[in-house]
Amino acid sequence: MSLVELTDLRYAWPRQRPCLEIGHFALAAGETVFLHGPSGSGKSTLLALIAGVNVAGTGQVRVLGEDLARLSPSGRDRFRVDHIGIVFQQFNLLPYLSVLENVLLPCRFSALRRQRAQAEGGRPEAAARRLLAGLDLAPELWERPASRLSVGQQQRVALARALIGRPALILADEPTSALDAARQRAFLELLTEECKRAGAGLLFVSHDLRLAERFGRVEDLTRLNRAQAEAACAA
Amino acid sequence: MRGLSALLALAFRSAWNRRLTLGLTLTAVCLSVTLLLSIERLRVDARTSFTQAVSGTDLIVGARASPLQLLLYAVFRVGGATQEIGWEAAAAIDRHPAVAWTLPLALGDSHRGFPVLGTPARYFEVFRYGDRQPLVFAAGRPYAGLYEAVLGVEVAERLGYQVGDRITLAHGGGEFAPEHADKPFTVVGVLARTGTPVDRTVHVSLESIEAIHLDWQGGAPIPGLNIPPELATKFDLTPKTVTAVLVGLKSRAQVFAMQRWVQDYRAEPLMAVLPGVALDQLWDLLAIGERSLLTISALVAGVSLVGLVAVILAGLNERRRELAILRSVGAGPRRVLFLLLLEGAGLTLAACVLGLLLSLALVLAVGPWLAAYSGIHLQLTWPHAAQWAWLGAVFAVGTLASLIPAWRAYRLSLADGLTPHV
Ligand SMILES: Nc1ncnc2c1ncn2[C@@H]1O[C@H](COP(=O)(O)OP(=O)(O)O)[C@@H](O)[C@H]1O
Ligand SMILES: [Mg+2]
Repeated sequence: MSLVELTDLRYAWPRQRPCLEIGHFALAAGETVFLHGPSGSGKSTLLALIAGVNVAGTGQVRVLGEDLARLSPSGRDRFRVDHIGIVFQQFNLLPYLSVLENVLLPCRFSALRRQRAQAEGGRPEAAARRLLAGLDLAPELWERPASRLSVGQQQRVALARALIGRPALILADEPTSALDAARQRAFLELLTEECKRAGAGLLFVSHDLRLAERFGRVEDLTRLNRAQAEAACAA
Repeated sequence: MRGLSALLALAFRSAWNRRLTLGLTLTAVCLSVTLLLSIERLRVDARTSFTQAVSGTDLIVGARASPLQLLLYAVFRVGGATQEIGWEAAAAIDRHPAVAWTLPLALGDSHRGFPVLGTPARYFEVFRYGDRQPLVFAAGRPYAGLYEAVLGVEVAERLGYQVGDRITLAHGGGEFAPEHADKPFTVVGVLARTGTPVDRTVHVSLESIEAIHLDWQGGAPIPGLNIPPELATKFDLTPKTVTAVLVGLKSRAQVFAMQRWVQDYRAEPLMAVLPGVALDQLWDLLAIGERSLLTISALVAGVSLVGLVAVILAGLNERRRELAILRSVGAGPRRVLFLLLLEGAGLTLAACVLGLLLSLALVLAVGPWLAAYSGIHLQLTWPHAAQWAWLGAVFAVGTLASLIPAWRAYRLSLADGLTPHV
């Protein structure tokens, strides 16, 4: 069973021409995939479909064998927090929570993530601290409001949040585009390492092919997507 | 339901993060709630204070004028009589077989802004206020002779008088009214609090009123004539006129017959008023003012609720990222709707509670002053029905109004997917 499997997927934003038409795409458990596509080609849209935030008009999106369209809306919300960690391009954190509280968010909304975090030893906070330390965030930052961190630090906190409680799938939407070249490299290293260690599958989307080298597989969205991406998607 | 309690905690943290703008709108709504509640309190308590002022009196008799005017000066000591009635008329009413008791009232003088009432000493036994309650002495006794005064509690407290103190009365009610300085009065009693105009009144006998005016004419001492207090007893101190007469009947059934008898009195034009009927006229008059006050404060409340909605709506664009993060950790669009609704409802509720507390504090702060100068007693009690109704209305409207930003947040979180295009 694939971790993610798309079949005959079609999606259009309301009042727009089809944005995505994908015949087949699969991601095996523990696999790290770099999905490349120019800006506006529908990368973020695809991630929203896999995360069950939006639902495809036709075709199937299966995650862990579950057909997302057949879950109820709140079922999809629960499924997402139980099994998927998401890292955005930027502004990943709630500014009014501390670093630690941000990392613990999934454990607050998902019993499964909390249990898995506890299974690693002790309280979820212990797991959060271990992750933050592993991502090279100094302990004196942990109690600070998230808004006081640099962008690079914020992205590492977001990664810790995505990883806590060992979700099966990590979705990363151009998480390095706000970082300079040196930090991009370091962040990518952390990201792929941590996903390997956690045994999580990783789907990383970006327009920047130079980042692709650390990934197990590289895909081109413009080739996957039969809807003539850029032109078709534009409103 | 763990997600829900987590969401509640987040809603609070998020609101706290925006506490300045939210605090300002909260203050605006809170103040308008205070305004609404206070006006409502004043309205209801003014009515009760007025209705409490007289009880057990079947008719008020005076010179023919407007019934409302008669009620105002005979009961509330507001305004003045344009005309007096002759003593003979008052005596004739007293002799009427249907009449149980009468209380002739002589008004017009004052003491340091408080009205002076001349009336027989039986006033303290016969007069009833509130729910047919009799007057009670807090100290001293009724007056028995000339130049003795019984004070309402407000007069005694405000001016610091005790039994045994000497006071002088002033002719008329103005600030610069000439004093009856040659004939000082001794305070012989202080009445217990009634919550009616009695509290603000200086009571003396009809004969005392007559005595201090022996050497007066037309509002000023007669030049060259000075009758010392001891000598006044040599004169006939039966009053020549009185301002009004309170009448108690043996049977209430006779009230209309008695009213007609008074109206038809030959010797001079008289008028008899049922206190209840005159009070109704007073309400009709006050209702216009009450309604416009209430309308204005309802408008103020409406405007501040619109402000509340505007603030939440305006902040929504900056919160789209926050909502997307919440969605990524499992909060559905309906949770987002609930979150925004909760914020609006929570703020309105907080404003209602704070407004209520503030209005109670206002009663504490202003109540004693208002009681002394207007006789209106504000009650420091749990809100009454009309106040609950206003509180409920503000809360309902506020909650309904916050559906607008909540609905918009719901739509946005559906339309944005994971990455809001802000
Ligand atoms: N929330 C949205 N509502 C409507 N159209 C959208 C929305 N998000 C993206 N689109 C459209 O879908 C297309 C693909 O966008 P997106 O998935 O963000 O591309 P990428 O992430 O590859 O840059 C674009 O044409 C964009 O205008
Ligand atoms: Mg994108």
